[in-house]
Amino acid sequence: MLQVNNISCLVGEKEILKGLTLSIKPGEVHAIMGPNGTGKSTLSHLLAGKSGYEATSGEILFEGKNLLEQTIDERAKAGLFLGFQYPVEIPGVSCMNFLKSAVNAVYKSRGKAEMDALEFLKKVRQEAKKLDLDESMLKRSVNQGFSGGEKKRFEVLQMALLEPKLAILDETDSGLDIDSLRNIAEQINLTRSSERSFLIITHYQRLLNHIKPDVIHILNNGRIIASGGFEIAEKLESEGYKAFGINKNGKDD
Amino acid sequence: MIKMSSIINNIKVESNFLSFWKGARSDALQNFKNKGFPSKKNEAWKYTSLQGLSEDLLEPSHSSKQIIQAKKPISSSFFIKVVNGHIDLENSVLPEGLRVFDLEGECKDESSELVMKSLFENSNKDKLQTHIDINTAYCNKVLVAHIPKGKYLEKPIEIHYIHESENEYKSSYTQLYILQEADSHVTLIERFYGDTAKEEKCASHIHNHVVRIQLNKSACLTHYRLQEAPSDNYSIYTAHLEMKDESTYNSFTFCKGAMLSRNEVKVNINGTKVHCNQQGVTLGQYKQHHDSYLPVTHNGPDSYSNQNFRQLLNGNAKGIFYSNVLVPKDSIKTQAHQLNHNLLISDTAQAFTRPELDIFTDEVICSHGATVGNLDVNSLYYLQTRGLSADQAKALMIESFANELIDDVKHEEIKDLIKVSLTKWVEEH
Repeated sequence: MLQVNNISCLVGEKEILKGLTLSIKPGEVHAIMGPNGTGKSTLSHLLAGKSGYEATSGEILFEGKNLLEQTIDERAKAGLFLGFQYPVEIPGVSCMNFLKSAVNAVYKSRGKAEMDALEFLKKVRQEAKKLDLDESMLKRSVNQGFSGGEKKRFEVLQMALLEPKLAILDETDSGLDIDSLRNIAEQINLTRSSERSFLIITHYQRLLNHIKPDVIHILNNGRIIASGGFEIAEKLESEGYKAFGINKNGKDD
Repeated sequence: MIKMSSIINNIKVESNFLSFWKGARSDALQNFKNKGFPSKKNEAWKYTSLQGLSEDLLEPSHSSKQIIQAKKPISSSFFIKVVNGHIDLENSVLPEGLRVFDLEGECKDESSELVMKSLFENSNKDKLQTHIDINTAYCNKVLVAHIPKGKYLEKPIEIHYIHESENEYKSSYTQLYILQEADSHVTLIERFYGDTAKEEKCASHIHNHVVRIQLNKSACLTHYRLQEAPSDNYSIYTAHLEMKDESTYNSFTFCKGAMLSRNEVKVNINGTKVHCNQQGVTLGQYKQHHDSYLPVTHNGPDSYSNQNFRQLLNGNAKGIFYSNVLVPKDSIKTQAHQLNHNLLISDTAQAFTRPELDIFTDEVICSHGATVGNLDVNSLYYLQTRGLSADQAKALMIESFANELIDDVKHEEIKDLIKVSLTKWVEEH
């Protein structure tokens, strides 16, 4: 589904990713862990198409097509979803209006009929209920006045509505209490399928206890330095990054 | 430059004019002759100049023929049609208490004359307002509404000022007087639209409109103004509002049309427990120039005034928000709030914002704020990651910026009209 081949990326004048390679097959859940500032979020924004993130070498294929040639919305329409680490507050844009515009744009591109207002409302209510999101919040502006946990739940709600093929979840667990974490993990698990893949960026094992990944990668200094099964997360939790030869400053020993 | 002598020669002070109007017109003529249009030295006119206007353009239009279709009035309203400044009585439905007053005819209605005289004299003390003088000099028929005590006008009064393009470049001069007696309730809708002769680089029509309103004790006026004048028009709107004890004024101004628009609303709060709430959205594009000048004076304690305006400016448009709220000594317990947000959609649009508060007493709750900014790139990015194209994301943000205020419009039909007009504007640009 996603093939990242030896990709390097500049943000401003700084090279953040340095020859990163990653392959995700349909239905697989991958997790990326790593110290702060090693390029985890850079990878997510490069995949999503953020302006200012320039791939200097390598290629990225999403379902066999060159992802880097596509605009941000084309990537979303093709089935790529980015759950933001810091969801953006957009005053004035109501959640419902935003969700409807987004869902209709994506549906239209996939040749699906746009949902009528009632049908859409029903679906949103259904998904919001699963996430324990108060319906009244959806009358507010996007992410405005939301707590950290509410913002993350709203991200997962969007993911559920947009039905992506690959969901990149950038620190979706940060700012969540234990119950919210469990609830969100449950919802993510419910959306898992043989055709949907996940790339989960996290600092902690706790999310991975609920969403068992197929592969865990350790990212440091712009490239993947270790990959493996759940034992990697356990080793990291017990021994820290030094077990992977990473010192306090995030530098390779 | 305008040759004053030539203008003055063309204006006759008819012998059968109402005596007070005859004097008022002579004074106005003299004042305009001496001073011309306000200069930029006048702080209220710092950002807008009418001084370069062609002399011919100031002459009143004599044509009242209407070819273009009038827009459908909102359901069940009193409807008054004004074409190129001429009131079309045949196609109007006037409510009880509203009269057309012919200033050149004989006085047949002393009540209307008294209303007009009182409101005129109250509002015409400022000799710097020479843009009103030219209106006084040329306007011949005025609308005068005297709403009796306790009258609750359930249907809105809706006035359409329609500009029909002519071969000659002319001006329209209109005046509206409203005196609401105690406990009366009125909804007023003023709409401005018309056709454009051709793409003009300079103004081909000026609509100079003066509104004088007095709200007596506990009277309530809800005022909507939709300015969608043709792109070759100058729209000069001057309102003077006198508010007595416990009166309420709520207004929403949607300003989208005209090459140049001036929206001047001067509020005198002469009482206590007055509630004055003004809101508005301005849309500017190409080289449009929109100037809102909104002074408020709290001449009494324990009153509330609020101004909340947003400007969306694209192309080379210029938007001005200048509000001066004066809280004199002894006007204790005043609440006054001013807020102006500006969204610059292009790099070449300009916003000037001056929410000024002059407070000369203690025990007040006052606030003022302004912002000027571009579309937030992170928000645009966020929306695009959800499948909206760059244009869709931009349109959603622009519309939402305006809708935050438009959603406050309580009249659903008016709200819909504004929203449709806004969507059209966003789609076109």
